[in-house]
Amino acid sequence: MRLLRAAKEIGALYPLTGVDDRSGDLERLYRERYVAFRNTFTTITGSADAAHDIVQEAFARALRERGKFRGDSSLETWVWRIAFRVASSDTRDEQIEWQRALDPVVPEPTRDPRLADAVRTLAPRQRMVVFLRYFADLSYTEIAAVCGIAEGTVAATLSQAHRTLATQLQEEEACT
Amino acid sequence: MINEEHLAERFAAVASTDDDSDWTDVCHRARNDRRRSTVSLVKSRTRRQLAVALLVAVAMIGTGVTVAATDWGIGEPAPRAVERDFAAYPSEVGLEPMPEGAFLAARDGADYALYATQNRQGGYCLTVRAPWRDPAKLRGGGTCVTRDDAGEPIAVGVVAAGASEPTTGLATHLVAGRVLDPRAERIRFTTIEGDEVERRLGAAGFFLAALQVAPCPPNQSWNPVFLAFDAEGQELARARITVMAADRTAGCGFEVSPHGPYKFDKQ
Repeated sequence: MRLLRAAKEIGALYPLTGVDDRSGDLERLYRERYVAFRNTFTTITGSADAAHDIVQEAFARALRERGKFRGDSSLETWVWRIAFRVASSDTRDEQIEWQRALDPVVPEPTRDPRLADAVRTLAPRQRMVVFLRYFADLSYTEIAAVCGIAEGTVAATLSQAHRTLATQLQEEEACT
Repeated sequence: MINEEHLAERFAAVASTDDDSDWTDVCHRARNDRRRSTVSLVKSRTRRQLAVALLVAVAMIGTGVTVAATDWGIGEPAPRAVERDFAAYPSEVGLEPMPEGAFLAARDGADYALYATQNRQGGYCLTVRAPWRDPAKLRGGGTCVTRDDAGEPIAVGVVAAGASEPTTGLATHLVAGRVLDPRAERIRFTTIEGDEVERRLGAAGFFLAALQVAPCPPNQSWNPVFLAFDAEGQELARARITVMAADRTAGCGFEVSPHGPYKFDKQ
């Protein structure tokens, strides 16, 4: 009998299509973008551990409050906003060293010490936009939505940041 | 003016590629944050690490205390035999369990235990301990679930079956599954005979139910509706799943295959 033959060792797990697609979307977003989120908040908080906690907490809140997502922006943009709120509240309440963003630490500074030093010369807003652009790989439109600023402001801020970085990197290269 | 493409490459070079993501921790936080006020994330992380250390300490001193597992990441660690069981999963299937992360996911009575671990492809794998199946002696590797299937709100299947009892003809089938919604506390369904079964969810939303099944049940297929409830009894999800499909090539019994992954018709 097939049942007896199978009784030695069988295994099966059969899923069913979803009732709650949004939690699945969040999980997919998390799995695909976790590293980008963590790298960005590592530069902002100066701590990979703190960044990990912020990302975990942000997705947990998104999961819990997914019913509030109205689709006005992309799901990712919505989670980024939550993550910044988490980071802000935690720095206020728990004194994660948000101010270390004034002395930002890129995740792997030894791989390009010149770039790491150059980033430190950027103004806080420039750094934020640069991190979202290059670590989070967000478009100008998405950065604008996350930061709550106009897209033109994103472009202008990035342009200023590029000039600053170009100057710093050229100066450093000239000194070596 | 700086070359933006070149700049992007330099930033990519200083980005960390380490992936310490942990979706089950996210689910755990989502489940527990409803009950917690503002607490330090850093401190909570420390507490979790301490909790893990305490679990290990309890196991090491051999007190025999059973610790309730409530989280994918901090569930009671699986015995080494279970890790070795997962390590025996046939690689040709294309899914690779991560044995070192195995944990006790759910129990049904004293005799049946479900162990789970994530696989490298983003899903998870399951194996069981039962009176007829000791992972220390029988290493079949269990069954694995793909990443897509693991993302389903409710996933259920038969993970093991015992031989029929000579006197009654009944065989114990271990039905295991997972509810994705972190708020879920219980799952309810009916057996192939129509009896209602309810189980409390264990770690990471997993459950295990040991069911007695006749070799030739009146209905050759079993496709119950699974209902997930939160702590207040509010229904969170439902799914009709074909857990056992009749084996049309035989007069009696179910069509099953070892190791998975499987995808039966959804109804």
